Amino acid sequence: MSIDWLWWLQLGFILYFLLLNGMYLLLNLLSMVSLMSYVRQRAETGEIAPYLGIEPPVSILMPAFNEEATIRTSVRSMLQLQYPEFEVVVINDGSKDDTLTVLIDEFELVPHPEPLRQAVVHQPVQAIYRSRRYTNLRVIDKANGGKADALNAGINAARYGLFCGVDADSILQRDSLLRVVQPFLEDERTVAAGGTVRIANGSEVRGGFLIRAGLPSNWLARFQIVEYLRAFLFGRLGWSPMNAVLIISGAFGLFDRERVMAVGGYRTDTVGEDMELVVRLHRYHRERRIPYRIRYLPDPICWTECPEDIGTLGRQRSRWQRGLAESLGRHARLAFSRHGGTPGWLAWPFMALFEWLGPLIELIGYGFMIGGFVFGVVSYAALTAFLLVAIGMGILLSVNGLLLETMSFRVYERRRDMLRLFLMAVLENFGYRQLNTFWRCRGLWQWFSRRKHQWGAMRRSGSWGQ
Amino acid sequence: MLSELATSCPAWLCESPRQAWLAVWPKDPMLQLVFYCAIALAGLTVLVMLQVLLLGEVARRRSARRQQFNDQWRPFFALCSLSDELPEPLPVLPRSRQLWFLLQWNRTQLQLRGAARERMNRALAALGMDRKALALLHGRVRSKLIGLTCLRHLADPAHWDAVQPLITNRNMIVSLAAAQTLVAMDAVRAMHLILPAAATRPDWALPRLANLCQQAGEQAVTAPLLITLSNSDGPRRERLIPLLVHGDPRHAAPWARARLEEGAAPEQLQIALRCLCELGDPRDRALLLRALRHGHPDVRLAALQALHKQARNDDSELFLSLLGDRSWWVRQAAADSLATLPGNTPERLQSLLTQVEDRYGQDALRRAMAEVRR
Repeated sequence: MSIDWLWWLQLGFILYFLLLNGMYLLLNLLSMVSLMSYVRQRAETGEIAPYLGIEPPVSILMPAFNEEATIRTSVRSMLQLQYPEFEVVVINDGSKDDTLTVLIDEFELVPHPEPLRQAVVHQPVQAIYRSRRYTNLRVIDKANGGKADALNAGINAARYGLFCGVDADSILQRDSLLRVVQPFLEDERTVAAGGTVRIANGSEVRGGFLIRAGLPSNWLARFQIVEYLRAFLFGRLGWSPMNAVLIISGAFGLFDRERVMAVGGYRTDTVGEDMELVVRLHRYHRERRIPYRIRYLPDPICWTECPEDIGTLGRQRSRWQRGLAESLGRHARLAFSRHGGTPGWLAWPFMALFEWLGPLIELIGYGFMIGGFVFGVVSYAALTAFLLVAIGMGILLSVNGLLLETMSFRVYERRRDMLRLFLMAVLENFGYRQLNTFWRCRGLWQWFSRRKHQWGAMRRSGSWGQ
Repeated sequence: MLSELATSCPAWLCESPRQAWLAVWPKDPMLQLVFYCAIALAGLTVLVMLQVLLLGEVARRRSARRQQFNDQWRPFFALCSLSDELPEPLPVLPRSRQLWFLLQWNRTQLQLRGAARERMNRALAALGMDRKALALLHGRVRSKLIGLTCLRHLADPAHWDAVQPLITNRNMIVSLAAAQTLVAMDAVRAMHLILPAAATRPDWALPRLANLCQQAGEQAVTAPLLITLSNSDGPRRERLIPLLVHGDPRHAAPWARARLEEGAAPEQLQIALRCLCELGDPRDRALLLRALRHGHPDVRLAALQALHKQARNDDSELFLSLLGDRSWWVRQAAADSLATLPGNTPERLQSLLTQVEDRYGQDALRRAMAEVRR
């Protein structure tokens, strides 16, 4: 009887991994089709983002918490974006360092008696400043309440119909706004659009703009490059044509302000406020049967600094997993609901099975198969089959991420860089992914035990602030 | 022959690897299947890797050739844009590089204005490349778009008949590019074709149409738009109504007044009010004042903005009362109107501020006063 049970368990784990990687391969194929069509369209309409002069004005919201090292450069680069009409609203979320002082000195800020709407709730605002040098720059100084809270204050202060949430430590391309606004020009139903976030570690950054993409010397950062390629290029792109994108990265996303206010703005009691908002937007529109589109663009339009030490990385991954669990858990009613559509019938179940519960099943799978083999419960054949689907297909998926990158934007032009990324695509399957699985399980535990959430301190190089 | 080779093969070369392989290769059929799968997966992975390297190499070489071509022709284009005469000697343009030539020409045109563009047009015709651009219209999507862009820069009405059929092309990008080219050739004639077509093309997004209207200019837009609106049925007509703001407000005004008189839907009222705002006719004041009492905040806001454009010195009271409006946006707009009203000095604004009872209205006026002081 117990032998039977063990046999079925082994088969179950192997089939789960087969299904997991098989589904990702399918998503990969969908992304490939979508990406090819996008790249063709880009080639047809020109590589340069069109500047029509009819682009709707955009409010760029930059929440900042202890960003004194990078805030000067970040704001400067935002002010130099190519876009007909935009404003930059920096929200100092009760920073304990000199973020506000740096801003006041650098941009000649003066207090501005401005009333704020209370369309969405947030912590009290202490002061609002405007720049004497840049008419389109304002700074809101408020009590600490977290990133979501800061964004809510920004939404209330925003003067334009579209707002773009940007991380203060991110670098945008000059034409980022022009690119991300395209879905709003092509389809009036668009309520949100996000772009691809890439890793800037190792790249040459000057004046707040990325001059040349390169590989970092740190191996953890290199692993993350392959990981980001996989996550963005087929983890999200595949869902976009089905209008089932559930995540728009908090580092860069453009939203229709009225729609976001209609759903109540960002939730402050979650660490995954970016994903939670997108899932809530899906649910809101689906339940009310309001036509809408949430789009994802494959263009690499936002560059971010990734953690290079294992502690920060682990905390970041645990937080992401917790955010995902909170977002999916809160909107479980979207799944298989009458008006759920592709987000409810495909994306939510997929994310729940492979991303939410996936790490737990994976961790148990690894433990059971390897432990079972050591104690003679699991056969050599079963262990080999398991490792084949878990690791072999994992390598294939990572390498496919590189293929998508080469077919589309070729950010890493040097042959040496590509070969190094190949090596990473193989090596990350031996240890790094398993470690990631462990961190994600820790995130699940934090979610399950309802541990009070807090922003983990991100160790930054601050080299961009030069 | 082979057997001879096998027997003479040294043990370290043939026998040892064979033994090692046999030691690893499983006897169990299930394991064998797994190993076959592993080999297939590894093979597939290597193939994908090779494809990545190959694609990268092809792209690198193409990019280098392109760079070389552009470096060779950029000085030629610069000379063409500066002089009425073609520079001598003409570089040889191989047939296989004609497309790159047109792409570079299109790109150069984007950076030029006025006479320089005309000179570039003459150079293109002198090289006979206008015929190539026309021929591209029969090619695939990418070729069509290069050809259309080229003809748009040329803006020669003689090419009208070649471009016009493409306006009905199923590909949205091609059809809109054709529309843009037609507008460049003859805006009035083009809008008479484009706007009726737009009513039947839901894939032509409104911002793109607005862009076309902006390019064509208000004189070219108004008449065909009003004709299209009167000939179209409900939903199609409503979709095009926002384009009226790109038309001549004098001609759109009767339509706008009629909508305000009949109390149309809020979306239409906003467009009507924007038209009247552009016109700035004091005779519409009564209609605007009535719209200020509308239940929809966006209509009140549009009415307020229209009134602001024709505001008089004695309108302070009117704007002052709107500082207590339910809508945040209306309060802000009322404050802006008050602060920028002709004759309202900082002292007078300060005294007006003391008259505002609504707390939110006071905040709005304070903000507007601070912005005016900038």
